[in-house]
Amino acid sequence: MLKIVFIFWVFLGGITPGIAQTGLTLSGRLRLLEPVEIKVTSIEGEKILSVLVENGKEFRSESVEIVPDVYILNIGNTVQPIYLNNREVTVKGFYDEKNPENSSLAFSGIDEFLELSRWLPTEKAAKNRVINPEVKGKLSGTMYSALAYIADMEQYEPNKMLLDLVPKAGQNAASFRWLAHRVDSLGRFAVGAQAHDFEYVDPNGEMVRLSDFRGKLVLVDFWASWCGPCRHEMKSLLPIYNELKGNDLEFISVSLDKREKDWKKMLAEEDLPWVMLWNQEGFTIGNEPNEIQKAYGFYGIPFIVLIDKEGRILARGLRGREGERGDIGSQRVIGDYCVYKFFRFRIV
Amino acid sequence: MKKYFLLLLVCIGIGKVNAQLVKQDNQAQKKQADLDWYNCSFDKDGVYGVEVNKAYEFLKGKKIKKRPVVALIGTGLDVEHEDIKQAIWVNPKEKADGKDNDKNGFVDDINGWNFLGGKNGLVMEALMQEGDREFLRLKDKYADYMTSNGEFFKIVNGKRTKVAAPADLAEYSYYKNKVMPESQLARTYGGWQVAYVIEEYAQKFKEELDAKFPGKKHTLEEFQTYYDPKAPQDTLRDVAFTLIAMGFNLYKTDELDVIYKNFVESSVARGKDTYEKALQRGGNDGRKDVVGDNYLDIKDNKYGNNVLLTSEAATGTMQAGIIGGKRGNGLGGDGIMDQAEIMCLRVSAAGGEPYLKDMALAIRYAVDHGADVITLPQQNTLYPEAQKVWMTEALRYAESKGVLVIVPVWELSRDLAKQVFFPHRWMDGSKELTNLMVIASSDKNGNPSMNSNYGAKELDLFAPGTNIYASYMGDTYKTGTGAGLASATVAGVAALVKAYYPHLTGAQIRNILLESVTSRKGTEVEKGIIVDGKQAQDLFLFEDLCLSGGILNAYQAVVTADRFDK
Repeated sequence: MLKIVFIFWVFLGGITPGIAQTGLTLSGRLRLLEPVEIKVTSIEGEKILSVLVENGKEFRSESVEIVPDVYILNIGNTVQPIYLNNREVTVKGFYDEKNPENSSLAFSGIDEFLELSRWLPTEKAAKNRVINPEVKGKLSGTMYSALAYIADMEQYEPNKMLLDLVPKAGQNAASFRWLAHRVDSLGRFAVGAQAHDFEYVDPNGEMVRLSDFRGKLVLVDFWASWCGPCRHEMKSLLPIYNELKGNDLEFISVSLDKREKDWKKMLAEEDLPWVMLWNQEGFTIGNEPNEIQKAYGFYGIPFIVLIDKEGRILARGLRGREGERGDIGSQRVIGDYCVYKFFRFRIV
Repeated sequence: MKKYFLLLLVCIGIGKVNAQLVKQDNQAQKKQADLDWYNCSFDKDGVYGVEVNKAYEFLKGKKIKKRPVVALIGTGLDVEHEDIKQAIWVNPKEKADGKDNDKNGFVDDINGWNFLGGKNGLVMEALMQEGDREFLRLKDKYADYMTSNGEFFKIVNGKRTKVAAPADLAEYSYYKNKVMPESQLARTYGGWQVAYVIEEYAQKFKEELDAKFPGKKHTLEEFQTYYDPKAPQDTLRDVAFTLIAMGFNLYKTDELDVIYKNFVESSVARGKDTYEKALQRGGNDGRKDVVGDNYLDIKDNKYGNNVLLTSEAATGTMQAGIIGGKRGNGLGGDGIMDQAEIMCLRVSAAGGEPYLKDMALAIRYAVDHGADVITLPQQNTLYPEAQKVWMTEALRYAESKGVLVIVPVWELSRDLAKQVFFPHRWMDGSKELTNLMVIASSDKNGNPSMNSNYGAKELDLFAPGTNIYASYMGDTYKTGTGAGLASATVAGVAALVKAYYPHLTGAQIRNILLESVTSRKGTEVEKGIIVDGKQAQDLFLFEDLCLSGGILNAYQAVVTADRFDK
């Protein structure tokens, strides 16, 4: 079961010990209800250092030389990404493993982390988060890739911007590797990228390819019969289809049903006038998306993507605006978008 | 330079981390009027503090005559906190050696006592509500009774059976009218019993309908027309009829069969399940296993342990900071009386309501160990009669020893003239308790906390309790809000008066604090109220909200005490 833990951290920065340090050291004193292990790992899971802390007792870890970067600080079961450097970090405060929301921790020696945290986006949904471009020149080294790691954004552009800001010297850091990989995978289904060409079976048993529709604007709708919102979405597509249909527009609904008969049953029930295909891979919930989900980068359905006449992605994730649930909202959003893009393309 | 900021960390499962910046501010650059603002004056700082700074100017050159002892009865406390450790009470006759050196029945009670503790340092982390405790105490006696037309019934082997009236009708009435409304458990149990009645009458209705409309499918129409308003009154039948009638709406159906299938036939099983789940969730707070005493026996009074740092210790630690935080050291806020000695007596946990036995014994412990001022954690609407006596006697005992007791009101927008909360000054029926102060929280602008309870006679005064910056566990500091912090402000000022004028009794200090408020009489303020069970707002004159018509004032209090002294 997923457990959601909220914790308040009070950070106290600025007091950096004057002693020259060669590596990262964790020290301090905590008030605790039971002993706790404080551990630092790399974002790839490699253990950097750990120290066992008892209530009210001063503690001090060994000194470990690290690449300045974002690391994972584990205090008991609570995890926090934090930017660390080769210096002493001191922690004081109260930590309650069972009720982390009662905890209060103050840190010193984490100035870079405080600095980069100023730039963290505040949007809740990962797909809405972006970074203010003014960050350029304000941070240094791996702080840019660390910022991307902590911000956890799903959009291509801000990730790419931060990747390009990391200087050569920082390119061996874990966060840089992480970010390079994320930018690469986001780039594959970013707007403007070539859409993955799929080939699926139609109700007559014929194989149909996406590229068969080159020269047309194509709206692809991924759905499944068991998915209520998908069926709502499909119905709301019908008036849009009727309004816009013409020689240069095609709608394709790709079913992600596991069983053919579920798909066939739905086809009969909904009786929609556009291209219907079946991807027998089905839909995977969770962290292991199937082939098509990976290719288009989606984790939930309905998922609607608009593809231009050259087979490039024009827009993705078309749906009702957030907070505007229900048929009218989604219909209008998709409708407006299609009308706008479509006519622009027709005229051009 | 100090930089503070707060991060909200959301951690979902293991490995997936999501950090979000919530707030960033620099406490060091803030003025006292934004932090420990209770020290401030309206003239000088523009906030309705209690003018502690001004009080110290007045007291300049005078000597402290006594280190006042303040007992915080409530949550745990971080006694090692850097800003308050100098103001922690130390039991002079006790040593931390596993022995009861002072023979008071408590082993190693160095800085106070945890009445919710047990062997091996175990502590209770949540409590039950008083109503649920009373339900469990009286369940076997009264929970099975149901009444109709003055007759008593019980469910015996699944069938409603007429029984004799309970022997102690007064106690039964207490259960029905006082305990049931206060106990979620009692209500779910009652729901289960009513389910049998629904089943019984549903069967009867069906038979009667079959006879009246033979061979027809029964719908809402038949069901409605069939109700006979002229029939002799039968409360249980009416209850069953109403509940089944509601089913048509609930299941959006016209057919009686649907309701029978979905609602009637499963209602007993569902009622049982609901009750058993509620019992499992909230029917045992572990007192037997952890503490092991009999909470209904006040003579069984040697229990608990000395663990004072607990999960919910935030309230106690912040209260201690307001009262005894070291003044002028640049750490946290300045306490009102940093020479006070603060004793921690834990009777509250994260949830639920304190046991009256713990509170009564804690008051006695405090008085016996030299407390001058006591704060209680909260009021309550339900004080079982036998246990209420313990509280009254303990409060009278404190009164006889000149000890002031402070209790904050709840944030429930209730009028204390209409709904009784305990403790209050008239609770033992004889003359008023003179040493009990009931207080509420006010803010920087001199407004009462929007949702606090109020009473022109029942509530004494308002005191700063919102957005106060004070010490938090582990040498950290936070801003907090709550009536408990307001009672710390009052306790701090009372301790300040006591320190310089030690012969004043608790009752005299109460009178001084009431007389010396910053008067807000004639000021109209917005205040939350309850109208027909719903939250609403109205304008009140300040004097209609509390007895003194004002906000606590330390400066005026010491001036008044000084005059009194001459």
